[in-house]
Parts: sequence; C-alpha cells; structure tokens
Amino acid sequence: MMTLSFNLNGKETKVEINPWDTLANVLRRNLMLTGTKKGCEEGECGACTVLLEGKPVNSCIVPAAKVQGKKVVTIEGLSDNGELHPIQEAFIEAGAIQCGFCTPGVVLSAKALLDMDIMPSEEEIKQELSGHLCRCTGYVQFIEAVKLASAKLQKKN
Amino acid sequence: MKNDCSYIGCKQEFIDAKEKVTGKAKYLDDMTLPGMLYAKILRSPHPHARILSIDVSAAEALPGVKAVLTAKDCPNNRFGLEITDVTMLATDKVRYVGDEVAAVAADTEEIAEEAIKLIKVEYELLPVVDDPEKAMQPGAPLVHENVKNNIAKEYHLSRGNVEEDFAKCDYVFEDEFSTHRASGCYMEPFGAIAKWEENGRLTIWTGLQSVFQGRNEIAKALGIDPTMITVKSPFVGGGFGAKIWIRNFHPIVAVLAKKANAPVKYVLTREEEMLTTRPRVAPRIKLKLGMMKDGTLVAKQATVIADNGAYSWAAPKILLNLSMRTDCLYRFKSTKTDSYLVYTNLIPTSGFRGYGNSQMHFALESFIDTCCRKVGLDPVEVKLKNAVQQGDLTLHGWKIKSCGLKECIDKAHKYIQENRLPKEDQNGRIKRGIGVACMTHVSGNRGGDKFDGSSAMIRIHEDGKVFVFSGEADLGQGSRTVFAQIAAEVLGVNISDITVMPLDTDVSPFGLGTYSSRVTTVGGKAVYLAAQKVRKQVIEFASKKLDKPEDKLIIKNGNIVFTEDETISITLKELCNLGIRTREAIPFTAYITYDPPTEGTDANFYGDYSSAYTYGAHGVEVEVDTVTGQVKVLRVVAAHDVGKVINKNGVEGQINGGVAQGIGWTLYENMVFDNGKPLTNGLKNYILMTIKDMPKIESVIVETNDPIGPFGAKGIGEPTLIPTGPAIANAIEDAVGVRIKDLPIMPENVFWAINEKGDKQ
Repeated sequence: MMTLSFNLNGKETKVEINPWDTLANVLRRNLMLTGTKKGCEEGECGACTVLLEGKPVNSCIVPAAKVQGKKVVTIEGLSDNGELHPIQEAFIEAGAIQCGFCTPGVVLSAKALLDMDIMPSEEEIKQELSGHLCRCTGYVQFIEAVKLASAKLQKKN
Repeated sequence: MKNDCSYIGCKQEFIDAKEKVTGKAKYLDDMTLPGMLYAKILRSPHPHARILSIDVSAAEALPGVKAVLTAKDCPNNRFGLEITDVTMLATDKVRYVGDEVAAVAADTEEIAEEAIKLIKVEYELLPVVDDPEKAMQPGAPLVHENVKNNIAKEYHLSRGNVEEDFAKCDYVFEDEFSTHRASGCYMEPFGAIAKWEENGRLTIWTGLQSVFQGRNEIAKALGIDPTMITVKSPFVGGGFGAKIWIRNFHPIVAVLAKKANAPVKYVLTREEEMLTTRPRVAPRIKLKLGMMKDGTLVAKQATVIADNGAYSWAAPKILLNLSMRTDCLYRFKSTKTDSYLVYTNLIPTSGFRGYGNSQMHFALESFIDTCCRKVGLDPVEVKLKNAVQQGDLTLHGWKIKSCGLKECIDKAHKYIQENRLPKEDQNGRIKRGIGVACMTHVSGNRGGDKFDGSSAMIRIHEDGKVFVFSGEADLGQGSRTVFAQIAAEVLGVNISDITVMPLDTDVSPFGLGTYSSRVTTVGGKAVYLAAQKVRKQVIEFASKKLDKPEDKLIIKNGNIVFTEDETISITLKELCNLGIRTREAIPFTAYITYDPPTEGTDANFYGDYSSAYTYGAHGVEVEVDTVTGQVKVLRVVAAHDVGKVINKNGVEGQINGGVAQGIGWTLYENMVFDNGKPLTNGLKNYILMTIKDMPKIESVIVETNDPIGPFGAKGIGEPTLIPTGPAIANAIEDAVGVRIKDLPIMPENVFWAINEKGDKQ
C-alpha cells in the first residue's frame, strides 16, 4: 500500500492505494465518487474521463500513483453547492443526455475545451469530443450543447 | 375550455437528466452493499469442446475466495424463451467461445480474477461448425446432439399463390443478400447484484429492459417461484434490445450469493460483452421479386438461412419478424417465405434494435431499388405506387389504422435532392449519389393471442404530488419523461410535481418491458388511462367540496377550477389533504391494466397484432472514393411517421441515435470470427461511430394521429435504424453503379466491385 496525496475537486486528499490501482478505481472504490463511469477499461470509450491538470484523461488507464501532487477534477467537482455548471445546464437543455452513462465524461471534455477556448468552432468541438463513444444520441445534440454552453459562459463572463 | 398546461409535443427536458449530468445517477456498478463479494466467470476458450474434467481445488484454496461453482453446484434446470436449451454453466460440453464453465465469488475483483485462472479444465476439442448453411448439411457436427441438422426453428409462410403470380409478371428477379452480427455495445456493461434476504427471498438488482420477464426466467433457472424474487432496476446505461432478456450470469450470481451467504456483484468486462452479448441474428436471404412493367409489385418470395449461434434466445421470434414484416410494406398480392434458424458454434444471436426487421429491410429495399434501375423504372416512384396506405388490410392481416409512408418517402426524397453536392469531385475520383429506402415496424407485438398490454398506477399524495408507477423500463430513451408528460397533461399539473418511480417487481405494476417499440404506445396509454381514472376521483371530490357540477370543473396548473367563474377553485394539495386525512378516505389512486384492441395472430401467424404500425423513409447522400472504395455518408434525411410527437427532444434523440447506429451497422461494425474464434474482442477492434463520422441529419416528423396510441402517438425507437442501411447501399449504386449485397459494406467490397465493373466494361 502507498499513500496518494492529490488535489481532488479543489480539496487536498490523501488515500491509501495499491501501486497497481487505476485512477478510475481509486475514485470509484476508495473515494466512492461513482460519477466517473467505467465503460471499457481499455481507454477506448471515454466514459471515465476526468480532468488532470485541466486536461481530459481516461482515468481507467491512468495509474493512480501518477496523480501524486496533481489536480484532478471529476464530475462531482463541477457543480457548485448543488448549482449546475452552465455546461451541465446546456447538456440538459439541448437534449444531449439519453442513458447518461457517457455524460459525465463528455461534460468534462467539453469543460476542458471551453476553458481553453470559449468560442470553439464546430470542427474543434468534434475534435475535442472524438474520444467519447456514445451509443444513444448520435452526438448531434452534443454539438448543440457545447455551442449553448459557450453562449452561456460568454454571457456569464 | 382548453387546458393551458400542455406538455404534449413540446421539447421537454428529460426529468432524470439532472441526476445523470451530475454523475449522481446510480447504475449497477455504482452500488455497493455491506459485505458484498465480487464474481468472475470462467468462460470457454474453445468454440466446441467436450469437458473431460474440471478441477477447482486450487481456486477454492485461494484466500479470499468465498464460493466456487461448476454445473454440479447449480440447479439442473434448462431455461431460455421458446426453446429452452440453456444451462447456467456448461454441463458436458462448451458450444461457443465465451460459454460459461465455472464461477467464483471472492472478497475483491482481483482475487476472483486470480481464482478463475486457477481453475483447471480439461477439454477434448470437437469439430467446429461456424456457417449455418454448412451446419444444415447431413453429417455436419451437431451443436446440440438432439437437434437434427442443427435446425433450431423453421417457418413456412405463404399468402396467395406466388407461383401463379410470378408466371404472370413482366419481370421476375432473383438475388441474394446477407447481413452480419452486430453487437449492442451499450455503454454501460451489463451485470447484476444478488442478495438473499433474511426471509428467504432473493433480491436482484439489474438493468433489464424487461424486469418481469427477467424475473420469471431467473425463477425458471433457479427452480423457484417468480414471486420469491424481487428484481429492482438501477439506472440503465443503454440496451438497444441486448438487455431485454436475462443472461446466464443472472442465476449464476444468485447461486453464488446463496453458497457464499453474502451479496454478490457481477459486471461484464467489455471483452465479455463482445464475446457474449447476443448480437443481431445474421441471415443469408435469397429473394425473388415479381413486378409489372408499370412498376406494380406483385409477388415476393424469400428463403432465409439464419445463424442462431450456440443457444436459442429470442432468435426464433426474430426470424419470424424477419420473415414477415416487410411483406406489409407494399401491397404485394402474394408472398412466400421459407426460413431456417440454424445452430452454429458462434455467439448466440438475439435481439438488437429492429429485431429482425432491419435485416430483411436491407435485402428488400436494396433489391427493389436495383431491380428498378435495371429496367429503367424510378425506384422512388415504384415505392410510392405500391406503398401500403391507411385503411389497408395487409396480406398478413394487419389493419393499418394510420400510415404516413407515402409522405415519408416523398419528403425524404425531396429533401435529399435539395442542396446536393456535385456528382463528381477530384477529377472523378470522388463520386456522389443519393438513395432512398423506407420501412415499416410495429408498436407492440401480441405474439399469438398473448397479453400485449401494460399496467400503470398513479397515486396522488396528500401534498398534491403525483407518483407514476409503470412496469416498463427506461434505458435512457426517455420513457420516464414521456410518462410524466402524459400524466401532467391529463392531470393538469406541473411536470415538476410528478415522480416516475424506479422499477421494482414487488411494487411496479406488471409490464412486458421495453421492446417492439411499444413503451410510449402501450405503456404510455396505460399511464394515460390511469391518469384519467385518478382525475375522475379528483373531479368528483372537488365537485362535492366546491359544490359545482363535475362537468364544469377542470384541473389547471395544479388547481381545480370552476370554468364559469375561475375565482372559485381549490388547489390539488388542499383537496388531497381534505380527501386523504379525513373520513372521506378518497384513494386518489388508480391502477389500470390496458391491452390494445388487436386480436393477435392465428397458428398461421395471420392477424392484426400491433397496436399501431410505424413508417419511415431515409434519404441518404454518400460519396465514394473510387480509388480506395471508402464510403462516406454526407447527409441523411430521416422522415418518420410517429403518429404524434409526445417529446420532441426524445423523438429527435431517437432519430439521431438510430441513424448513427444504422450507419455504423452498415459501414463499420462487424463481429469477425476465425473458425469460431472471435477476433473482435473490444472497442479497439469493434468500430463504433464517433462524433467525427456523423453526417448532417435532417429529421422530418410526420404526424398521422394514430386512433389508438396515447394522444395519437406511435413508437419511434427501432424504426430510426431500419432504412439507413439500404438507403446507403442504394446511394452507392447511384454514385458508382455497383450493388453491394452483403453487410457490412467495407471499402474492399466497394473497391473490388468497382474494379470488377470496370473489367466488364
């Protein structure tokens, strides 16, 4: 066992882990943050996406020990005191959520994109979300949701 | 007076979207019970082998292992649907790669995985049969020794006299088509948690599409009464037909939990999903089509040989749909179909969005198109000329009560022609074409004379909040929201005052489940009727309290209002409080069971068996790279007769998602086997559509106001995938003049077809 210290959703966090544990398993099993979903455990589907130092990663293939001293944001860290983040509102309003299993990961990738560029082009949206598999929506409403989120964030700023 | 609270036809946000977007929604693998163990299953690495011995001693000795099972530890009951050929764990032999051989429950997933590796199985390899046509030949290895020629099921259907009609036709065409195995690939891996309660009852948490039928199947496997089992559904991460029926792991976790005396969780890995999740039934279809010079379609004959895989699940039923439904798309005078479902040593096939109907649509809609082109007829005109219409009684006895087929064909064709790109690019290397294909499907399926209904219960609490109970499952398609909209509309309350309860077979009213695109049409109608019944209780009691006649009272925004003087009113909250917390003892609760007014089918499968029939047409524009054979879908116009839109968000979501699956099925997804061994074992080699592969989709919604569905609504879940494939194949012929008759349409098939055509010219 080893002690992992990292910044999780803005809070300094310490947790005992096995050296072979993946970040997804530490989040889900040790820290009970089940908003991070496991769809394939081979880094293909994107459901387990979290932000590591602001960048989206597949937490199912990131060794937990690698995030020592780093900043990790999960879906649980996105809404503020129960208030939805504008990206989350946009996903609901655009009808971009069906079964919801891929949703937390997609929302986090959208956040990474919008943090980088508040007015992304359609091509940039597609590029940034291309690592996510969704079997329900056909992705059409993802694009609408990110555009809507962009408008909401611009209004807010 | 019109009630101004209208939820029908609007763009309603899904009522459970907030839980999902915050990550709070609990799916199966998000659940943990105190003392819970984790299961793993040892699966056969061989497509066909006799089990000579199994040694579990090393696994049992591993610290942390709490139970190890082989077939001898399990109740010896066969289960399955029409053909009961499944046992929990393999008894004498294994019949496909992935077949369950042994199971372990341990303190952690890692220990369970380690224990599985310690189980020693001695196999004697048997000859493999991996092709249904070869499997039917005399002398072929038998998958199940008691089934002659490996034929699990056959149908011989005949209406009118095709031989006579073919003799009179101006043209008779014959050709062969095939479609392949495609995996459901829902994003949430399937699984179950089993817990034996102190009172001897069994609770199973699992995300089934049909909780009641699942409960009964688990009971059959365990040999106990169905009501000894409670099935509870957490959130479900997609199903698409592949989560309708139980899997072997459902009874296995129950037996593990019993033996270990602790709750046990089992979740499939993605590799196990690929190896064992029942894919589409894969048929080879011979078609014969008779038509007149003016384009009148007269007769259709089909011979179908379909792969059942190693065990029978829903494939017999799927073969029946495949054999019949397209006969009712056009006004054929006669049809004849002989179909065979054949065992092989491949993954058992079963239901996937379209349930057999998509496979025959690919063949027929491709075939009509190419036949028309051969004789210089316009395929779209031929489709319009022969399309089934409202008021028709089809040759299988379907009564067509609403039908927007012609309008769908017309619009799909018109809009795909608008804004077309040039027919050629890059000096002729890129060629573009358009194609149209149409479809019919059901909204419910009586299946003989059985029950095809749904039950619903609505209860209004003393604070005026409404609780809706149904036995139909929401896999993400949005049925909870549709039920809430229907209840809100009928009861005149705000949708935020409605809760649609999760599924629990002890509490939820009986429902057959989510398949046959029946949930809005049949389940929704049950909710509609329950809401009307409870509304009557509200109005009756309000009439007494307000001293106004019932027919002058309406419910509006949660208030019961006297229509002649709106200042006279009472809130639903006040009224319910008065009714429930007094000796008036008004239940404000209604339970109804609704069964659609269809008579079902006779022994010959003749009869009207679906509450409504749905129609649609897709227009597709593709481009083909003539150097590489690569096909790219540029635009899809998807026109669908939905009867009446309940939730525009939901309908558009179904169309976009269905088209994506339709393109994926046609161009990318393919389960590949080599002598029975699966080569596609994960999402790295089973190719799903990504956001970058999506074309522009224009959805065209046609409303025909079905006389039976709730507010006129019909199903939309499955129809959206059905016409995409043949429309793509038709567009490819339009672009490059070659006809691809086998799915999936891989670049190499297109490349060789183009080359072959070039050689002939």
